[in-house]
Amino acid sequence: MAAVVLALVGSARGLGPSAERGDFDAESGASRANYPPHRTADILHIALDVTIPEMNRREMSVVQRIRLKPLGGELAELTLNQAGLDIRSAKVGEEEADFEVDNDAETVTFLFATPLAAGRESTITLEYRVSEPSDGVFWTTETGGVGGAAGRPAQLHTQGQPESARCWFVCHDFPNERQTTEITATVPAGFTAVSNGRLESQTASVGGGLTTFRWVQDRAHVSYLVSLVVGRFESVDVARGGKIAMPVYVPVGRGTDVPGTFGRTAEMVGLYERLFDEPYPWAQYAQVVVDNFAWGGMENTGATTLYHHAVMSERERADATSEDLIAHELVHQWFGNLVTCASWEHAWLNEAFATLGEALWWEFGAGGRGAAADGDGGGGGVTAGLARNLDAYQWWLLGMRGGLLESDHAAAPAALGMATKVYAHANDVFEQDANPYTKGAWVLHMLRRRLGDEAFFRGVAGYLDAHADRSVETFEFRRAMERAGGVSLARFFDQWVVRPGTPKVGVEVAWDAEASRLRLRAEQRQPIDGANPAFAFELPVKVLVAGESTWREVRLAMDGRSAEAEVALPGEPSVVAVDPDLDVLADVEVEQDAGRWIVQLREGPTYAARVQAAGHLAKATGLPDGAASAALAKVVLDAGAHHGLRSAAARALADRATGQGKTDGPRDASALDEVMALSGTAIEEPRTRAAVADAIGRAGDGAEDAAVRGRAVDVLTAWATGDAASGVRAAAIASLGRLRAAEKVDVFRAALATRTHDARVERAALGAMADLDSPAVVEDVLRATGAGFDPFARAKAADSLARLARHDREKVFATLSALLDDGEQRVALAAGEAMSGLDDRRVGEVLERRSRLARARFDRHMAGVWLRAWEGRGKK
Amino acid sequence: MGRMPWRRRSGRRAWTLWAAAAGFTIVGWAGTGGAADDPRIDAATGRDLRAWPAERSVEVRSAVIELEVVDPGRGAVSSVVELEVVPLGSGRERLELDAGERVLVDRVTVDGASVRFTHDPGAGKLRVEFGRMVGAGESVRVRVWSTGEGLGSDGAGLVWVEDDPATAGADAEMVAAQGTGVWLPSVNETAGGTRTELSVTVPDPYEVVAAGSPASLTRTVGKRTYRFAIGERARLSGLGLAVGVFEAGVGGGVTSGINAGVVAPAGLGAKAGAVLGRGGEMVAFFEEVFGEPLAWTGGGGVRRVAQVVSRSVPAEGGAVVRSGVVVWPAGVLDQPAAEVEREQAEALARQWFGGVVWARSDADAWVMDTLAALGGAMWVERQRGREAYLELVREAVIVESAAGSGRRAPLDGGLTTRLAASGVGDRGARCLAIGHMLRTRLGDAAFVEGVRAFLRANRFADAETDDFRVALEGASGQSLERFFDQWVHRPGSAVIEVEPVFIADGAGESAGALRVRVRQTQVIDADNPAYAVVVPLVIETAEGTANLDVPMHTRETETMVMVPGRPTSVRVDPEATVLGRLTVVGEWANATGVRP
Repeated sequence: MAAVVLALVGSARGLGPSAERGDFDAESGASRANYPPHRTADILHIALDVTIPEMNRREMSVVQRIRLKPLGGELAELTLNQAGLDIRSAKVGEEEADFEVDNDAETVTFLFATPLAAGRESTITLEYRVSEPSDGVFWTTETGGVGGAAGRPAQLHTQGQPESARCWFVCHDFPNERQTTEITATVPAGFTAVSNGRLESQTASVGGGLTTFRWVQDRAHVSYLVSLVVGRFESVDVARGGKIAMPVYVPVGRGTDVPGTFGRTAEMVGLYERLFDEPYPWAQYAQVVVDNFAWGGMENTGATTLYHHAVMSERERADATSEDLIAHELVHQWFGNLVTCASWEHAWLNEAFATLGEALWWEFGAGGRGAAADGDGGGGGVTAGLARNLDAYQWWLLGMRGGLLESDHAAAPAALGMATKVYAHANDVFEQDANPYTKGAWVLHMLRRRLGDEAFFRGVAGYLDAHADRSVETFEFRRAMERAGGVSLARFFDQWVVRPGTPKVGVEVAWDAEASRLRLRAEQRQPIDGANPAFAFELPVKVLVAGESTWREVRLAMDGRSAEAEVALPGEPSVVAVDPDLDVLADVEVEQDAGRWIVQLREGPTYAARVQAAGHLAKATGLPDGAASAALAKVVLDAGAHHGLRSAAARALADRATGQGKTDGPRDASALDEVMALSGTAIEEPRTRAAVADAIGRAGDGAEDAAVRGRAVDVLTAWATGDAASGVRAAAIASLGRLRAAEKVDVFRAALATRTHDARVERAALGAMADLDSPAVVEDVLRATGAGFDPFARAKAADSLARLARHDREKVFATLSALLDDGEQRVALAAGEAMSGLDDRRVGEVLERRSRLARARFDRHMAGVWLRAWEGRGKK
Repeated sequence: MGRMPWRRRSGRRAWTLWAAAAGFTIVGWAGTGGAADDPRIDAATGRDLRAWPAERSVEVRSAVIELEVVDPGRGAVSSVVELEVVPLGSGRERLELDAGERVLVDRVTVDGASVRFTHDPGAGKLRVEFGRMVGAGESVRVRVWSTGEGLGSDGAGLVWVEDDPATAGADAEMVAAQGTGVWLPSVNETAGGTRTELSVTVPDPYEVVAAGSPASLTRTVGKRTYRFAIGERARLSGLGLAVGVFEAGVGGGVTSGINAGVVAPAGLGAKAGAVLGRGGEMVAFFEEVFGEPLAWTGGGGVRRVAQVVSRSVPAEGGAVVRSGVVVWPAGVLDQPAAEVEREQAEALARQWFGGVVWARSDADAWVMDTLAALGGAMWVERQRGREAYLELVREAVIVESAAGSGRRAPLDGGLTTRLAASGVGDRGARCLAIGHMLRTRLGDAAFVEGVRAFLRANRFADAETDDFRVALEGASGQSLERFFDQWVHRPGSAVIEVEPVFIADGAGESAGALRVRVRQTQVIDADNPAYAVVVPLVIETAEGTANLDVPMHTRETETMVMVPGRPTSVRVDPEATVLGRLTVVGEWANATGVRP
């Protein structure tokens, strides 16, 4: 599944060391681990004949054929998954077969009068109806226009991952089984049906009222990747004459935005084919932009589904892109689809590669500043000679690291590792603290650093070769990398993949001028015990002696709480950069002479080293007045620097100005001056400008001088209303909210009326309104939860509404309660999340009832998650 | 490959001694708690104390070993070893070989040029400088000249007995036991096999036994040189070698196309043939079951495993099992053949599990031990019937249930523990019990196919526990992760009470229901959850016998079954499909085969 655009829900866990063990039911004594289901038959092929006579009536009839072969012995009965299907008949060959439906277990069991012979193929034919699907099929009927905006035509898309394919066809709904598929979809004329594989035929019915699309997927894949989308689309092919078709299906009228948004897809395919040494595996690569999609994208085999903002206008593309999302889903076509996690425990293998794929696109594909032929990074093999942008690569990695270091605690066994069998719903795996996206990508990055590019990519290619068309487990990936690297990685995988947590490392840097020696002492400061031993890693330190131009490297080998090293140098170092290439997923705090940070900010060996310097300068003391602020401001204004570094410098300035950063410190008046000076300086790069807008808001909020606040409000108002970049407008509006600029409520209202990418401006306005904490805005926010607003804005409105609840408890409760059943999944999920924070006892009743009675298993599960969050809200 | 389980003593198999023989120290820490006592971590430094698999930094494609046994009675040899080495992963400037503390290295060349080297006797490592960067995948030939005497200790390296001056003739003997690197510069940890040529020169009148048949025998004055071409890619650290003056065992060992002949010190040939003479039949049996021919060949394409009886192997020890060679202590000949039979079959099964596929690390060695132990038991089944097989399994279950009682995660480890001490009670017994449980659960056809698939997929390479599981899952379609979690990775065993109560249907006892409560009474906690098992019951009534399977995964479960009359007996798990103590309590307590 794709990186989410917005956080959907809170973690289902968040267990601390003292919390009850999630993997054990103390009452019954049973393990709560989820083990893969048995495969009693090898499912060879599934054919679905789907008929949808009317798109505004949420019902489809299906004839399904399942060709299978018993495994292990003859088969007297076969249990497969189904959820809510109205099964009318079942046959084996030409004979009627008995079947038993268990809706609690979401299964159907076929009882064979004559057992199916071991090793012999049989075919089961089923007829059933899917009516008013509540999960697995997201089917929105036609909507009328609101406020002059056009309505949406009816549309449906399926979503199989993790275990919802059963909601529209009978299957072994677990990724340890693969089959070929074919889908024949008969839909009303004017609608297009898109599915996996190649389009074999498209025929109009007699009379022309219906159209039948026949899609054939003749390379086996797992059930959760089977897809069907039906809607009114226009399609633009972005293959640019390549080997395979690459149609992009977008809402009618958006075709002109396709080349600008998706135009580099073929280039991406070429890059990944090279990096993975494996041709794109499927018959075509379709990308389908749909409505009512709660995630960013879903990598259905050869037919990715994308959320509605994925297609972007030229104006939206000025400071936003869908390329990371496109890259992510595309990489899944190899990792997830060609090679699939055998169970959800191993889902990180899917998501890690897809997420790293984004970073690789920024490094090798997106080009830009810093590009150099085969620069640093041990480039060899497939990466040799590729232009690369390591700044962009490290920017992406650091962006993924922040939240991870805060949430992923070394607290086994209560906390769970990334590869775990313990989850209440398979969806939890994708949301867990030791996150398969971010931590997974970091694990791969660390492997890349450890093995070097040549061995790393050789290992990846070997992994694909060995396991193509198979479902895999983590150990099989490890073995492939061990073979390629000639190393033992059992410990590496144990500590980074199986165990939870990351190290917190303090490094003391001391210069002994008399002995001309550099002394380094590193200490792991996270809790260490038998279940969470010290991590083992090498921490690289790059040293630049003043007056020299060559970097020296020291590697601190750690496998216990502390390690020390002493290095003789010809002179005092001007820079001591700890882990500048991000070899270790750790929260590193360095204590050294503050003057070195200024040099490192300017001359650090890598992007990451310079960002690290900015972070430490946010609180550094002992420097001459204004020195840190001036250095940071200079970086903010450095048009040649990566926007991530410039933004980090802006954040650090705000930290100094307010004395409130990662750790609190004294306020630095010079930093406030620099921030306010930036407000009058032209900064071309929009993401840096947005960061400055944020810094102005923070600095203004903390300022004791009312005039400073007034000036900040003026500047921010101008940016909020006049900046060309929606990201800057959003940041300025958010800052006005932080300043509780009630006098600017009309600015927020005007912003709410705009339509921007991901509704970023509208969401900022709704956040700002909540910041005002005023009854005057309640009606505005209530209105934004309704029709006519983008689902992203509606979801944010639900959140803001909860924050404003004290001003109108009844309306807020009633609105959020109603939104729980909203047809837009994103909105419904946001409503549940918002309700879990309401101080209203009725919430418990609503959620408890929903956790028992909701039709869809996922809805019941999420209600339970919110209920537990609501029950624990006072403890947060 | 490892050593055999130690043999029957005092009427009960001393399973536990296997662990000691394998280099483990058995110390219990069950019941200890708190960080200071936690065996997983060094409390002072926070270091993880688990042993992780060694690096496989090079592939050794081929080895040409020229060995001169200077004096077999002193474990003294000189050698020239030429290894074709290929760096894995990335280029390397140096190579680390294994070379024991008493190996004296004279000279090293790389592709014919002398290079610098450093021998660290304490660590048993020989570091060879290539003198240049050798790229990944690039092949170099490393040649090492060495000498040494007393090249082994504690059963590792070479073991030998001196020539007895009181007797006429030469009766010294020398055998290569575990750890080739102890006595010969080589690589102990390899991911793949090595095509090996072995040349051994011995003083007259000594003879040499190694894998396969000698390709040639050259005689010079006072010396003989045997050449063996071990064509398959054998595990270098499994190199087999025995030196002595032997006579062929009389009778047995040879069947069509298979030679598992026995040699023994002079005067013991007839006895050796009588006791160990069925090796050929056993090999044929395993070839059929495992679907893989014996790997080592002699002249004329005959598959050959040499069985040697040697006084150099400690009398109280089990067999030393090497590639193509099994060396028995002379004491084995004093045992009745029937008693030795299972152990012999097990030793020969290790020619596949240890010889064709070997454990990636100690944590995976249980796979080989299990398949070898099961192979031994299956041979017994073939010879003496199902009940004899089940008797072995039942005894193993009893032994491990008692020995492993009180062992609990996380402070005790299971068979796959990476801690220095195994947390299970009796390793050998547990391995046999687990092998049997897997066989029973999957059924013979799927189990055998899974084992064959495991061999095929990992032929002449190292393998891990998960490779074995995945092979079995692929053959059967069954998901075995829970099985492996609870029986292989965790220590301990189940303690299950079955309480049946007959509820008559109206007047009389002609029919009614049997309510069966099943309780797991072992310690259950988050680290040791209730076992997920199927408890088989055999219910006998006047009308006949019925089987009832009670699945459970919680502390307690209850089921009800209609019966035609009051049972005359209720027995639990007669085929030992659950590792644990299973007891029927209540009315039929005495009518069952209650285990201690």
